[in-house]
Amino acid sequence: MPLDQEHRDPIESLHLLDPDLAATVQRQLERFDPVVSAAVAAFLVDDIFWGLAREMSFGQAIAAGYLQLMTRAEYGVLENYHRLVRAAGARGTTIGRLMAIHLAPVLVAGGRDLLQLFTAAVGVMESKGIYTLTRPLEALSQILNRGERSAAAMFLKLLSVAFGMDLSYNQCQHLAINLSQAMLSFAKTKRVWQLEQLLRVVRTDIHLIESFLVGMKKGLRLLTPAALDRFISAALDKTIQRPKSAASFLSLESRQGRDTFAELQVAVTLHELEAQLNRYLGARTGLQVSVRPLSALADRLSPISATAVTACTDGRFIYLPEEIAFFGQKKANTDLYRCLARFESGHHEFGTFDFDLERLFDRCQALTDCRCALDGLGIPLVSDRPTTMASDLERFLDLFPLPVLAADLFTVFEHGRIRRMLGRRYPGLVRSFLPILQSEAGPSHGLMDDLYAVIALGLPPSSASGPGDVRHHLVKGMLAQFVGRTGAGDCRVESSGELVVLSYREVANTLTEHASDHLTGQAYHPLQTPFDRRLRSDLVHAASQALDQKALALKERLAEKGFRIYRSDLRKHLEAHQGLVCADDLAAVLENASNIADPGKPGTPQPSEELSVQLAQDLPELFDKLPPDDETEAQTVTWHPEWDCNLSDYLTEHTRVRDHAVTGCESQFYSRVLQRHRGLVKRIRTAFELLKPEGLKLYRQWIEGDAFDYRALLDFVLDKKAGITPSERLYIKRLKVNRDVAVLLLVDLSRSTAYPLAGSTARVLDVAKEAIVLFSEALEVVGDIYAIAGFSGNGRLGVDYFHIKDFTEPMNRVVRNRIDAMVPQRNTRMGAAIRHAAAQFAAVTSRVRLLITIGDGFPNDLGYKKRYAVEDTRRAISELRSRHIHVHAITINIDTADDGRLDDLYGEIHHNVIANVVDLPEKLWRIYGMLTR
Amino acid sequence: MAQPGQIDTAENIIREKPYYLPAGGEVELFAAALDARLPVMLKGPTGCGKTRFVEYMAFRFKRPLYTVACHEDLFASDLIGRYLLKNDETVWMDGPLTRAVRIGAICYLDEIVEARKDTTVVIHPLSDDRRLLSIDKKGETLKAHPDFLLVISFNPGYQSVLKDLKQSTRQRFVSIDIDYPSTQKESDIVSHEGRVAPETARQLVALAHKIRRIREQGLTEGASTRLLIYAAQLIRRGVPAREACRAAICRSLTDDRHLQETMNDLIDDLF
Repeated sequence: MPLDQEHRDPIESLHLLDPDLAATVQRQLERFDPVVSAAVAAFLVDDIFWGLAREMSFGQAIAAGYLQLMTRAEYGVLENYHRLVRAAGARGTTIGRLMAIHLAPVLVAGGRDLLQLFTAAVGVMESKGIYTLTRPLEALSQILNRGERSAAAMFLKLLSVAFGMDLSYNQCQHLAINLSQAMLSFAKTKRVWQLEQLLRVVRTDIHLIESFLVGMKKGLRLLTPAALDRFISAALDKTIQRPKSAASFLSLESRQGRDTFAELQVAVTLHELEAQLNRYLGARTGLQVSVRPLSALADRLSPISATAVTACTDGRFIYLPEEIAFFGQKKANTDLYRCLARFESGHHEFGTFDFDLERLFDRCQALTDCRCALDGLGIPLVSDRPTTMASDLERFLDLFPLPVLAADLFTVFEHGRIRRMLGRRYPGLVRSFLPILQSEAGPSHGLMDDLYAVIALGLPPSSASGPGDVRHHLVKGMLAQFVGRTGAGDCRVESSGELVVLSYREVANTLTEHASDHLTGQAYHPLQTPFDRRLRSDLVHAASQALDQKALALKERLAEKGFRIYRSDLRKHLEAHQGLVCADDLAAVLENASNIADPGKPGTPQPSEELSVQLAQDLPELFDKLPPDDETEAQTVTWHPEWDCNLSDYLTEHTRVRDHAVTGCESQFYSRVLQRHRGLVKRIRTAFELLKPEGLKLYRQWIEGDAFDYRALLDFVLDKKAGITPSERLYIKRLKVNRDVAVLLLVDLSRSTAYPLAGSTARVLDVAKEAIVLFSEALEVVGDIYAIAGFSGNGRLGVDYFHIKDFTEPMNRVVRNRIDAMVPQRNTRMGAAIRHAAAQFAAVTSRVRLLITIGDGFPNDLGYKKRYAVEDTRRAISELRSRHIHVHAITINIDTADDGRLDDLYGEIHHNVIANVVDLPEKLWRIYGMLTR
Repeated sequence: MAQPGQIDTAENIIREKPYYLPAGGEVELFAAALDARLPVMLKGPTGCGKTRFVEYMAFRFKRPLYTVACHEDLFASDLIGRYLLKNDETVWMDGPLTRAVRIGAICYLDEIVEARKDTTVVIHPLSDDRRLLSIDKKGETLKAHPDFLLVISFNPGYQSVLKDLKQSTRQRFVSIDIDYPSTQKESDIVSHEGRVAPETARQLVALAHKIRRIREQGLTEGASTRLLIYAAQLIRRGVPAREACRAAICRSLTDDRHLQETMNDLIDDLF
């Protein structure tokens, strides 16, 4: 709508001063409806002028503020903005500009109380210094723009109280940053009451803020409002007697704090259960199924919200809520996760996603009732050419007059089929977890709800209200039909399709009778299922589109050769072979294909080797092998797999490890270290002498053995002569006692080992090297065979493995020089290094095989970070353990107040933390001694 | 009754037919090896039925069976024999191997790799075409009875490289792979041996299959048929199925808390 002609004047005068700004203002004002009056425009331009005159950015901020306010163009609001911005501007342009920017969202949110809280907080903070305002006000605007008015009010109260205290400059600066970050880190749905608790903490003791925030990160965020309130009350009670204990209580460092928290916690996070659920799913289904948070679906999630308690699957992953606090008890919430994962994985295990329209039509062709039902619906019994634009299920549902009804019916029957299959195979599962879904079924709103309750949830049908109760009879009839179709062993997903075909018409007719007019999309109320579980064929299709396309190409090419084969079978084949065709297995698929070919048609082609060759020529992309790698040092390069936790699968031949023989220069390093640690070396030698076995041990006076014990024989004769009954223990037995231990010391040579130690010029690696020297000394004494190696990473293709000493090498001058030659390299790709180290054990026959890793933190490399890196390393360790290689990790220079992540990585009893690397030389040999005692 | 210093052969005859379901071809292979006097090596995981198979074959061919469970303290004299003092004189006592060689029995050395390496060498001249057993202490060299058969077993999965058989030993044997039986057969075995209903046996076997899938998570061995039979026997004696599986399978297999959790989940699902 054009701006009133009269308004042009003020804007035009603004044009002279700042043409860009004037254009923006004009464009924005023109968008408002009703038209902005001349008086308001003049008022606005006047203030912009005033601001521009003081500082350009100030004027621009005023303009932006006013434009934001135009949505609530009430005179009182504009007047307040004008008054407060002018007052602030008079105190200085910085405060003026902050006010101009952040006052607008406050006024847009509305309410006298909010404005009062805002002005009060700004006043208090300004008195400490304008520097305290920026971060908190930015955070405030952020949540106000998201419509969180109550949280904003609580935040303002918090700011007023916190900055109203006696604080130093540093404290103010800390507070401004911490409070803003913390407020934004709280979950949207919990922000108000979590801020309220933070406010309580601040009121009692401002120094507890930090502890509270640490506690929140560790888990307090999972508490319900009442539970958090109780926890904070318990913490604040402590402040009276022992403020320090209150801090450790709040930060969940004290045992009492952790116990209280565990008692109060009812919410469960997916993160806590993820590993367990994935292990379970892999074991039960034998498929590559794993769980992911719903938020990973992001934009594809609609119409479900990421915070809803629901579950869905895309055929590869099962998506579950990030957190569940649905029930009042932690166990019930844990069980809900387990329940959702169990039922969703039923779709994977029992082939819901193998739905094939062609197969369904083939089956319908053979069944008179289905054929008639399709005729009645006017659906031709020929499937058109499968497309890659929609999944087979979507194409099937679209054949019906009201696809949404067909989809709901399919959900009813498919959930029912999965329930029955699970019940048959896992009776305990259904007994334990079906009641959770049953109890969540709401009151029935009609036929579809009745059907879902009876068929999908296995609830008993409600009793008939009278002989003419059509709904009751219909439900019972369909239940009988369902039981009949899903009773047999071969109960594929297509059975649900048949049931939809058979029941659609009757259900639609019954619903139409109850609806006011003809049943349309608008009149039909979609089915409500417990926890909103439904089949998301869109997600499944999106996830498998690439494979579908390949399967279709292959299907058509095979059809040309005379093979009629279902696309879903080909897709499964491709899925099992990472998207490629395996010629041997394809032959098996083709053998089965002859089963579906028209039996009356003679001359079914036989799969042959030439066929594979032809197919490979026609569809090279499906037969491609991995490209050959350009390896210059082929003999020293090894490829290892890597565990991708996102896929829950191995990436085969993913990391390239290069073996390096270290060449050291002549140095006195080794002897210097021994010299420097003379006392320690002596102690180590004594300690390890004690560990040394005594060689062959003789066991005397045995009843049977390898040879006579002549001393006992003498006694025997003497006893006999003396008339005493001689002892029968006349033998000796020889048993060889040996330690038979092989150990490989694997040292992280990442860049961080180059850091100097505090108050010294020595680097972390230098101390580690000293430890290696002392360790070698100890092993030489005890006689265990050992190897030493270093590793580093530079992306998956650049993992380096440095041989310092191999198992078969004696400790000599060359090896000693190599130890000295170890230098910091790049990153830590730990999984690959561990797998490579495991390969070194292949030639070792020792009974006990031990890998000790020395690192200075968590694994980290290019494309190998955080969870991915940790999961791969953990996996590599599991692989070694299952091959009877013990793995023990030593982590140096890491904060000991670790949150258990190292326990998680290496296993509780399988690692040591040495907070200060200086202790390593003293501790390494002790740890080894303990391990092999 | 056997005389002192003699082993009672009659005791080593298996009189009752052991329950064994052939998996496919192993019976015929064994019979052929027996006929050709070729020593046999049975390879397979723990508790899959190797020992039972040998017992079955011994019964079938009516041969006495001498079984020796090998361990790291097993000396050559434990197999061959030794002098014992009886009254005022020393008496030679045949070991199980010597006895089997003399009378033409089957000698079964179970988990051969557990025995000391120098001990395994004594079987070398016995397991090639010479078929000789040298008894150093008596200065005697025994020619094996025509019916004598040497059978050894080992578990390649569990032993890995450090307990691998030496090539010189390996290459003297005909190898028969004995793996876990097929689902149907394993169910029948569990049902028969544990005396439980076929349905319960099927559930136990389904559990074992699922547990075998978590091997790569750190489990060194999958659940053996033997453990399934144990569980079945507990169930038959009134122990609730879930508890029986936890006691006989889950806790026996691992001490790892996470793996136990997963196994418990599977047990709860199935029972």
